[in-house]
Amino acid sequence: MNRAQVVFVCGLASALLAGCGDRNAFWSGPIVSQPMAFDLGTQVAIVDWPASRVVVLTAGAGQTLTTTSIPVGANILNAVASPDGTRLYVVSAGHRARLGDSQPQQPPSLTVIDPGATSRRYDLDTITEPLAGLAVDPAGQWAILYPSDSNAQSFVQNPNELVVLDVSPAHQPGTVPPVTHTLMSFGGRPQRFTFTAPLAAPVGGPLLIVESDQDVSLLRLDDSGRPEITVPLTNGSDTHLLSPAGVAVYPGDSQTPPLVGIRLANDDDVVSLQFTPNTDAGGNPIGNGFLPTVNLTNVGGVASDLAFVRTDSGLRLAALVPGRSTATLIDPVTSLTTDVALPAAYQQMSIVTASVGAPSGCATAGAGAATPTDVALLWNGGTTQGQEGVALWELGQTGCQPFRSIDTVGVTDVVAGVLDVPPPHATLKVLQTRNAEAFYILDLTNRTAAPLQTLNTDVGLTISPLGDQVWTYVGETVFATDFAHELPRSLLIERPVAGVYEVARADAPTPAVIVLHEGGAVGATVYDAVSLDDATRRFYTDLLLEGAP
Amino acid sequence: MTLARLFVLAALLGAGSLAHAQVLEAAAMPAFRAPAWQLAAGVRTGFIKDPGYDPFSTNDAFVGFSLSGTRVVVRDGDLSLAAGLGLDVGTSSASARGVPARLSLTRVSAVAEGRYQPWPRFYFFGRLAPGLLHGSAALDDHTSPNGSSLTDGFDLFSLDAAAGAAFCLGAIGTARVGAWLVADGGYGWAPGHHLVLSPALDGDQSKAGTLDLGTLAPRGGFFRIALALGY
Repeated sequence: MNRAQVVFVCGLASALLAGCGDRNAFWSGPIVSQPMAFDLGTQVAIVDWPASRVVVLTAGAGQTLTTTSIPVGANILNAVASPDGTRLYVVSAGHRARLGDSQPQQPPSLTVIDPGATSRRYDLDTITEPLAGLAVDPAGQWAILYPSDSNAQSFVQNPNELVVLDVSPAHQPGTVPPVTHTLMSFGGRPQRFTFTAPLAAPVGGPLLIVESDQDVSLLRLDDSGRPEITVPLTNGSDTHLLSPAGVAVYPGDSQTPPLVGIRLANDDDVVSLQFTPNTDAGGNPIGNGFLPTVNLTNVGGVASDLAFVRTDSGLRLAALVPGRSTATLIDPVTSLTTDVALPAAYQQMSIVTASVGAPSGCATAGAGAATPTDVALLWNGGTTQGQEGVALWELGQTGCQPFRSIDTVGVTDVVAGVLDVPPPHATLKVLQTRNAEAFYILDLTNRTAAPLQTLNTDVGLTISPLGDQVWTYVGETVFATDFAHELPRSLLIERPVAGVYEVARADAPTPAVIVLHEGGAVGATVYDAVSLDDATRRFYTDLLLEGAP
Repeated sequence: MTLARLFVLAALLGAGSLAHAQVLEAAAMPAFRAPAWQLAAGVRTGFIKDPGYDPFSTNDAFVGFSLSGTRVVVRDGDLSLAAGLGLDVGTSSASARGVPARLSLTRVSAVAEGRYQPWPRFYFFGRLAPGLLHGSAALDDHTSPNGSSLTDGFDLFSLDAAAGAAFCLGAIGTARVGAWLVADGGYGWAPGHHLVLSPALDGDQSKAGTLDLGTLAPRGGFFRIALALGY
């Protein structure tokens, strides 16, 4: 080969090597088999973890479906919807760029996705190690990041480290820095977070209640300069540490100061906290301006649920004690108790006064009739046979028998969950069973429970946001049962169902139901949620292939 | 400069018209002359930098089979003008986030090629090739309706501009048929196409949602290497 030929061949080889570029890493990444999906009311958000984005599905007229890709921070750790289901919060670990790294440095971040506004990404420049735990304020103002046991954590971590973020729409990213707070620890680590509504005096604002495995901490989030109050939990008779298992909060009113009830996982006592002013001689607040007073009340067994209820005798802390098949009413001021025998060992309690439409009360009573009282729904929340059924507990006087009116409803299966129904059928509840081929529509007004049989156990249930029907799904089957006639109608779904989401449409008078499919790159069948007309449904596939960055 | 040479130059600039080939007296063997007829087959590698190509390939390369046939229509000394037809066929496939994806491109073009042969056995050339580019994109997703592929087809105008060189490897059989190694490179242009894939459901097409993969612009630099028979 002469010199000219060598030059020619070398040039050709160079051209071959120089032209080959890599493709966008998006296309080489996997798709998780069942990505997390959330119904945000008008959109469905799918968390696309490998692509560091959230794909938002919007249904339009004619059952069209459009996708919008919202980038979030790299390396998603966790995603949580707000309690009202209208916003999505995504925590990302970010990326620490090594020398020569093509991917830029990115701090940990929290992205708030609000269908009605532009998404907001809050960078957490003050921390290097990501915190995967996320708790969200029901009011939408605060988000708490904390170390999580379930996700990857750093080599060294402080389990009591919290990062407090003001994520309200009024505070755009960068305007309010995140506040890092370390809880005063007596050896415990946070387990649960409860955001309270604004509490009456002497607290005078919302509290964050942090339950660790051996104490309870109270924080004022609206004033980061105030120290938290930590209440160690012991029963006073021995040294073993008590573990909180749940709290109930009464926000207080003009006559009653705020109260917090705490049930314990390993003790027969129930703890109640009352708050007293903590001021100096001049009336100026000391510390937080309040101090909790701790009262322990023995209820004869480990309480499984706790709630503040209004009775004819005033406010009471109600504790369910399934081991004794009783409920105990505790006077939060005097700690005196009243036991109420229950027909079964109920473990769970929901206050349904608002759903019933009017508080209970003795129609014939005099002064007592003016006091609104509550109605509680009792159920079991487990799978143990012999604990079937639900009951309605009137906490006023019915037939002038205080606290004694407990009506059982003819449910023959163990109720595992109670789903609320929005108006116009707020007097209904959907009772979810486990290990039973049925679910029930409970009417709180006439106290009947209509059974609806299914061919499978553990069916998925979703309540329509319009409050007009309940969606039931398992395998490739989806049924809609309307509350007006309790008439099940099926959808024609041709792929295994991962979830059913009813969303409002801006350009159509009726909502659409988006049935997400399992497998592949995520598909969906879209129906008109009212007509359920097979002829107008649409079938989509590979939704997570759209919107490549 | 002769009148004929001026004519060839004008033709190279696109203003020429087809005419009968003129006989070129050459000192070299007939097989080593710039061939009057040439049939070339080889490999064309294009580099599509457009992000719309990413689902179908793990890199930017698009490799295909290339076939062309040309005939010299004007010759004057060491300059000549050839015209002919070209065909480029190729398919690229890749996994798009786990979903098999493939893109096929077929280009049929008219070729106008100007050649300059400074030495025996070797000539340079420039090529202009307007044509029609047919594309077909497909995703094979088992979760699609009826398990069918999602497809989209399109036809686009295309224009290739290239320059290269050819080297005669030797005579084959008779002294008049030469084997040539031909290499060229250039840029292939085509407008963008919005890829919207959908399954084929016949009467139920209205029930099928579409998959929007964005715009694909199947254009970019390319090079080609081919073996040709010249007569």
